[in-house]
Order: sequence, then C-alpha cells, then structure tokens
Amino acid sequence: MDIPNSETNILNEAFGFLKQMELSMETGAYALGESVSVYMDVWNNQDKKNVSLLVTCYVFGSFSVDWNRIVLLLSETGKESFYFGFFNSKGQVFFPMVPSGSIHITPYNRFTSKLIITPADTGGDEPVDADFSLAAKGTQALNEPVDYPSVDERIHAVIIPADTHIEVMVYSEHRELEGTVVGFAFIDPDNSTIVEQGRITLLQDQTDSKYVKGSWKKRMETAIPLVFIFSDPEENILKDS
Amino acid sequence: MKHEKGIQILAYVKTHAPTLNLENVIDFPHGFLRQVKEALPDISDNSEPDIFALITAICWIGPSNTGPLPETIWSTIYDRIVLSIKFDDRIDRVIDFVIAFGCGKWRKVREGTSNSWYHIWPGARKILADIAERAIRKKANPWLKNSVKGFPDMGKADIRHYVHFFIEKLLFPEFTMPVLENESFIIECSDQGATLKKNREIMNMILPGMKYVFSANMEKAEMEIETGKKHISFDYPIVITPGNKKVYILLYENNKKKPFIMNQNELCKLKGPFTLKRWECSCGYIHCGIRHRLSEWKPEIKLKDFVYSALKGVVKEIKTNSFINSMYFPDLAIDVLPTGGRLRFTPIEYKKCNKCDKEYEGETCINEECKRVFDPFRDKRFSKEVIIMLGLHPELYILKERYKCPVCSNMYDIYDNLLKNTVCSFCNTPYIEQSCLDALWKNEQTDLQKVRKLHKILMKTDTCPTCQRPRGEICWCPLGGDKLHTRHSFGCLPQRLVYVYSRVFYKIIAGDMYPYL
Repeated sequence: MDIPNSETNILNEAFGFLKQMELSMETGAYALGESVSVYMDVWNNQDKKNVSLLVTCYVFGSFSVDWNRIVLLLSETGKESFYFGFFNSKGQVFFPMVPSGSIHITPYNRFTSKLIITPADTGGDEPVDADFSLAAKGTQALNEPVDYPSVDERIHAVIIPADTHIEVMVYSEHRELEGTVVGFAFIDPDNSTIVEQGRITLLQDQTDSKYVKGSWKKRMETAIPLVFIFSDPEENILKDS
Repeated sequence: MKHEKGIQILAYVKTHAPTLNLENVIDFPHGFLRQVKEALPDISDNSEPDIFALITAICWIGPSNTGPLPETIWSTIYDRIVLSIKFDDRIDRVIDFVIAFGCGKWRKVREGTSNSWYHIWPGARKILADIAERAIRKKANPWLKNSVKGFPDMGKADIRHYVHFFIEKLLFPEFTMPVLENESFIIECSDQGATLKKNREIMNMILPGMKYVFSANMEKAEMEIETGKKHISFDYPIVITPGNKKVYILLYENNKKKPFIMNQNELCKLKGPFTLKRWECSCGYIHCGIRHRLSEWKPEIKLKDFVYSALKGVVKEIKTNSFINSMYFPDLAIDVLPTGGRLRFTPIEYKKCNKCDKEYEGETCINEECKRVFDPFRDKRFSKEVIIMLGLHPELYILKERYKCPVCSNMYDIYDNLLKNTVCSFCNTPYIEQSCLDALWKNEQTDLQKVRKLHKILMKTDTCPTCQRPRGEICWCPLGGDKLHTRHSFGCLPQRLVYVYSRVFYKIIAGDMYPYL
C-alpha cells in the first residue's frame, strides 16, 4: 500500500466509509481503503442497557489529518434522539452511552472553528435588538464571509455575518445537484444540542449559470461557542426548523 | 466434507451461536463446538472432527449474511493447520487459525465496506482486539502502574483506543512512498525533535523519545549530511530517534550498529529516486519485522502468546528494556489516556547518599533514618534510563543540563564549583572582574564554551591579582579536590553537555502548589 498523498483524499475516503458502514451490535463494522481504515468497535456497558461505541479512523503512513472537518451524528432508528461525536486528533470518536439496538451513523462536514454569535459591542451591557455580528472564539477571527468546502469539495457553505442576521449560503459547481437539499445546524458541542438548524435547496443561480445555490437567513444570538455543520446533499437527516 | 454439510453447519450457527466474545471463543472446544456436535450428530459423527471444528469456527467468527462458505476458504486454512499442528491439538487451535485468516493472514484482503468472506472479517478483528485488550489490561498496564510514576488507571474505553492502532499496525505493517528523481527525503533536527520532509513538504514531526522507522527498495544509498556523505545500507531498517536537541539515527553497516548523531539545525538528505518503506510500528526493535506483523506469525506459537509478546515485550515478566521494544510503548509515547501526558524512556537523575549509600530522586535521602538533604559537594549524582511520564500538570520531571565528570562520572552542574574556582579563598576577591568576563564570553554560545574559555584564562593566573597569594587547584566537578581529580588536565571539564530529567516535588502553600527545589 502507498502512503496517502493528500489530506482531502483521506478525509473523502473516510467520509465515504462512514456513510456506508452498517454497524453490527455484536461484531462492530470494518472498512478498508487505500489510505484509511475505519473500525466501529462496540461493547456492552455495565448497565447492560447501553453500549459504548468507538469509531477509529486509522490513516496509513501516519499522515496527519484535520479530523475536525468531520462530525458524526448518531441516531436511533425510528427515534428522534441523536448524539454528536467529535473526533480527537488521532481520528477517534467515542460515544460512551449508546442505546443498544438499531443505530445509524451519519458523517457531517464541520466548520473547523467554534463560533460565537453575539450582539456587537454597543458600549453597554444591555443587549440591543439590531446590529448583530459574528465572531469566532479562538484562533480564527470571523468578521467577513468564510467559504468552507465539504470534505469531497463538491459543495461549499458560506457563513455571512450581516448586521442583523446570520446568512448561510450553500453553492456548488456541480449542477447535477440542482434540487437537492443540504441540511445544516449550529450545535452546542458541550451537550450535543442543536441551537439552530435549517435546510437549503440548491437551485440554479440566476446570475451565474455555472452554479446551483441557495441561502438561509435568520437573526441569531448566543453567547456559547457553537459548531457549524452541514450535510452531504443525499445524507440529510436534520429536520426543518 | 461435503458442501451441503457446510451449509447445514452455517444455518445452525446463524441461529444458535452464542455471543461472539473472548470468553466464549476460549471455551469453543468445550462449549459451542460440543453444542453443534450434539445438534448435528449426522454431520459431526465422521472421521474428520478437525474439519468439522474448523468449519464451525469459520461460520461463527466469519461474516454473516454473505452466503455459503466457499470451500477454498476452509481448505486454505485447513492446509495451514495440517502443516503446522499435530492432529491431537488441532481442535484446540482452529480458532487461532480462523482469527488470523479472518484478519488477512495467508491472503490479500479486498478493500471496501462489504461484509464478505474476501474482506477483513469484523468478528475476527473484534476477537483479536479482545485479546489485545486483555494483554494491556492484565499485563502491560499493571506493570506500568507499578513502574512509572504518574501512570493513570485506564478504563476499558481508554484501552480500546490503543487496541485499534495496535491491530492496524499488526495487519498492515508497511507503506511505501515513492521519492522521485528530483526529490529528496529530508531529516531535520530541531529543538522540538525531528522534522521529516519530502522536498519542502512536512510529512511527520517526531518528538523526543518517539521513533520513525523506515527502509527502502534498495540495498545501499548515499546520505548527504553536514560533513559530507554517508554510505548507508538498507539490510536493516533505519531508526530515527530524536533526543534533547539531537537526533540519533541508527544505521547498520555489515550487520553492525553504526549510530550517528545530528545536532540542532542540521539536516540530512536522501536523494531520489527510491521507494521509501515506512514501518507503521515505530518500536525500533531489531526483530520488529518478524515479531510485530501478523503476516510473520508462526502458527506453532499460540496467537494469544504472539499478541501478548507484541504488546508487552518478548520476556515473560515485563522488564523496561523489553517493554520499550513493544508495540504498545510507541503509542504511549504519543499520549497516555485518560490523563494526557506521554511516556518517555530517558535518563533521569539519581543521587547517592554519601552517608547511607541509598539511591534516591529529589533533594532528600529517602532512608527514614538518614533523610539528609542533598549536597552537591558531598553526594554523587548519576543517571539511569527509565520510563517516565511527561506532560503532566504539574510536571513530575523537569529537564536539566548536566556534565559528566570524566574522572568519577559524577553528573554535575557546571556552575556548582564556579565560585570556588573563580574567587580567591583568602581575600574573597574574584580573579577576573565581571566586565572582563562579559567581554570574554561575548562570542560564546553555550555554558560549556564559556567555562572552557574561563578555564584557559584561570590557568594563566597563578596568583590572586589582589592579595598575590597562589591560586587554588581548579576543578569543575564539585566532588573534586582529591588527587585523582586534580591530576586531570582540564579540571574535569567534560567534552559535552548531557540532558537528564530530574524529579520535582511540590509543596502546597496557601492552596497553591510550588516546586520544592
């Protein structure tokens, strides 16, 4: 086997496996690729009601990969409850309490930094209804639109900080995606809850026929750091807000 | 055995098999196999009990819902069993063969997510993971807990995090990377460790204490280093081990170890074209190629023993030197769950009490009846290579610069004897004024360079410039003063600086922790 030569190839291969793999509660699941292998390891917890699930993406050749670009959403078949799982730097996600039974794992594209959506500095403590801004906590300051490609680079999500709203715009050069729906969400990573979510239908761009695109706008205010995620068009299980 | 009989076994196994876990697998010959025999007496009652056991085990551990078991699969495994295991032991050993085959031994596995006979069998991989988990939980971790200060208690989930890296390395031990005609593989030594590059692109950062192992598709090559060219042979893998501000490269020439050292900011280059083979297991053990690969497993050895030996080292009772050559140690050298930090095999500083001969870390003799505080002018410092935990909060060990006395091997701080050597013992006046010292040391980078320069000047000073009395003997080792030391031509100054980790103890003052130095 050859050492993988591109981070995009590795993430793409892992993303594809994570979408396809069927988890057995007895033996887990395994997928082997050119640059990465994925193993879903499952075992019973002591309470006998729940299981633990450890997903390991192993990159051959010790190639370093930014696993922050993927988030896993674990959902029970036929139920509305779900859990988000965040990768560590070694490509592993651990779900400590998963209800034993039929579960489904969906990978999502993740925005790499945490966002804080707060009222802009007004010089006082009282929140003001208008004039919202979007700022990133940590290393990346976000005061202008940021374009974020999906792992397979087919679609792009852009977060646009506007004066009174947050706009999420999704576009693609792949015109065959016209009519498909992209789900997205702002999530609180500490307790796996969705703070805001929506769906965007990709339609022919009226100004530039090369693209299909769609957008969503809403006024948002939160002081906690959020993670932005969006789905592949065919893998959308987030509900309409 | 007839194909139809195999189908009957598979049908029974699918509906009646117990949970696939390590306990049931260990009990297979007396548990599930016996159950199948009783349930299917027409099939089991024949002259091929080993084949019956093998097919039952394959149907149980192999993939489910993938159609009948192909005859080529069980016959391939059976041929291997016949070759290496005598008839009486076969039934007890079939499980080993099934797990190994399911994990890809004796065949080329297909890629993808499919759960078929021709892919890796998740059941076999799970049992291999269970064996590895048990080796870590029962053998390696208890030893580490006893031997390494600060090593945490690991839960099952923490251990499973390591297990999967171990198995992938065991199954897929080597990866290739072509280095083309105009390209180079570059090793750079920095204060953070070693940086490996292909041309300008960074491939890996190796921290001090970790290793990188590679070989190549050629027998010999020329490596460009700072001082010229070095001929290297690829009979054995090449091991890159970053130390403190140095990188050690272990080469072999004519089957003999030929290590060479790169200093900070130096680099060496291997020019293409060649194909680099990166070893996934970075233990650096000379027998890694045969002990840490499933493809090299000899069926005469039980699979459990092979896995245990790979994970904890080859000797029965774990020892430091065997453990650092295991497959588990390199992963712990990256991080230790759940607390964070990492393991490192490195020299640490010990002291030997001059009064009671007790060896200890820290600043006070551990002998309850002695408890004498360390004195560099009386007690000897020395180093021992041990495994320690680094990166904890607060740190258990801090890095110190020491010099090894060429006469008594005492590891001393170069400034221990500075005062004694530079100040007149009669009038307490420095032989050299501070402004002169500053001018003298203007171009010197390291403490050793400074002291060497100072030493030369002091040697030219026979008497104290202030009181005119004769200068005392110069000796930089604080245990000096005897004839052996004073006879040394350069005041016991060593050739080079060495780094050792020294234990830190803390005291709590008003709720805050302070290092006890």
